[in-house]
Amino acid sequence: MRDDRLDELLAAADRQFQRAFHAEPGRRVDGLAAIIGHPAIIGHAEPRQEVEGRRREIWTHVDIPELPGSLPPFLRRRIQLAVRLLGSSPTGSQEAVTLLNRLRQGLEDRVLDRDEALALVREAKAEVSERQTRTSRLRVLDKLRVIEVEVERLFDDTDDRAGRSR
Amino acid sequence: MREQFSLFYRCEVGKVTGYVVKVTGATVHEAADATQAAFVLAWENWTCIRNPRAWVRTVATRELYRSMPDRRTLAGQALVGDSAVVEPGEAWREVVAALAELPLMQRQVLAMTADDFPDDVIAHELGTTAQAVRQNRSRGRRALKAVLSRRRCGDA
Repeated sequence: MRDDRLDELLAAADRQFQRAFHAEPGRRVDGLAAIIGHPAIIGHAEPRQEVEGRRREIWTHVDIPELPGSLPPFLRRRIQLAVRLLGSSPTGSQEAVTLLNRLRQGLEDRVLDRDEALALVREAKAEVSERQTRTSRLRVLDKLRVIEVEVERLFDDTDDRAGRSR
Repeated sequence: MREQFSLFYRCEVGKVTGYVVKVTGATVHEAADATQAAFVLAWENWTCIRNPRAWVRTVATRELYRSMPDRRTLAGQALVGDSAVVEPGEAWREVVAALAELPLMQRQVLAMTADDFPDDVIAHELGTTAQAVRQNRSRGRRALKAVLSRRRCGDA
C-alpha cells in the first residue's frame, strides 16, 4: 500500500466516524448541558412557574441556582454533582436522578425523616449498581456513599440539637 | 468561560471519542462514556488546563482503561459492538481493526497525528521525546500498511 493511499484511507475513516457521531446532535447538546448545568436538577422538582423559568435559564447555560432551604450547602453540592455525573453518562440512570432530586427536594422542604432520606440514597445506589457501566458506576457510587454519610450526619446533628433543647 | 468550554466541547467531543476508540479498541459506547467523564473533569478544572485538546484525550483514555482493569486483548474483539451509539462505515472499521494489531505507543502517535497535534505536544502527553514520536509514527505507518495489505489479501 502506498503512503498516499494510507493517508486517504485514514482521512476517510475519520470522516466516516465524525459524520456518524454528529448525526445525533441531540446527544451532544444533552452531553454539554449535563456538564455545564443539567436541567434534571430542576426539571424533576415541583413544576412551579418560577422553576420552569429557571429550567429555561439552565438550558441557556446560566449557572445552577443555589436553592433556598434547610439543606446544608455541602450536601446540596454533593447531590448536584452526583446528578451531573449521572446525567453526563450515556448510560446514566434517569431513575437514580429522580431519586436524588426527591432527596434534595425532600430535605429542602424538611418533609423527610432519617429512614426515608437514607432509603432514597440506597435506592439510588442500587439503581446505579444495576444500570451504569463500570467507570460511571464507580464514580457515582463514590459520590453516593459520601451523600449517605452526610445525610446520616445531618440527622445526627438534628437529633443532638433536639436532645439539647429538651 | 462557559462559551469557551461549550465551543471546545462541540468541536472536540466526536474527535476525542474517535481517538479513544482508535487507541484502546473500545466500543463507541464505552469510548463515549469515558469521553464524557473526561469532559466533566475538564469543566471542573477548566482554568488550570493548559492544553485542553491533549489533556482531554489523555484523561479519556485513562478513564477508559480504569473501566477495563483486565486490559482485554484488542485483537479479535468486536470493536464496534451492538450497543454502539453510532455505526461508522467500512473504512473506519478497517482502520480500527488494523490499528488494534499495533503496539499502544504507535496507535497513540498515529491517532494524535491524525488529530493535528505537533510532535512536541505528542511527546509531552506520552512522556517521551519528539524523536521517539517520529520513530513511532514511521514504524506505525509501515506496520499499518502491512496489516491493511495482509487483511485485504485475506479477504480477497
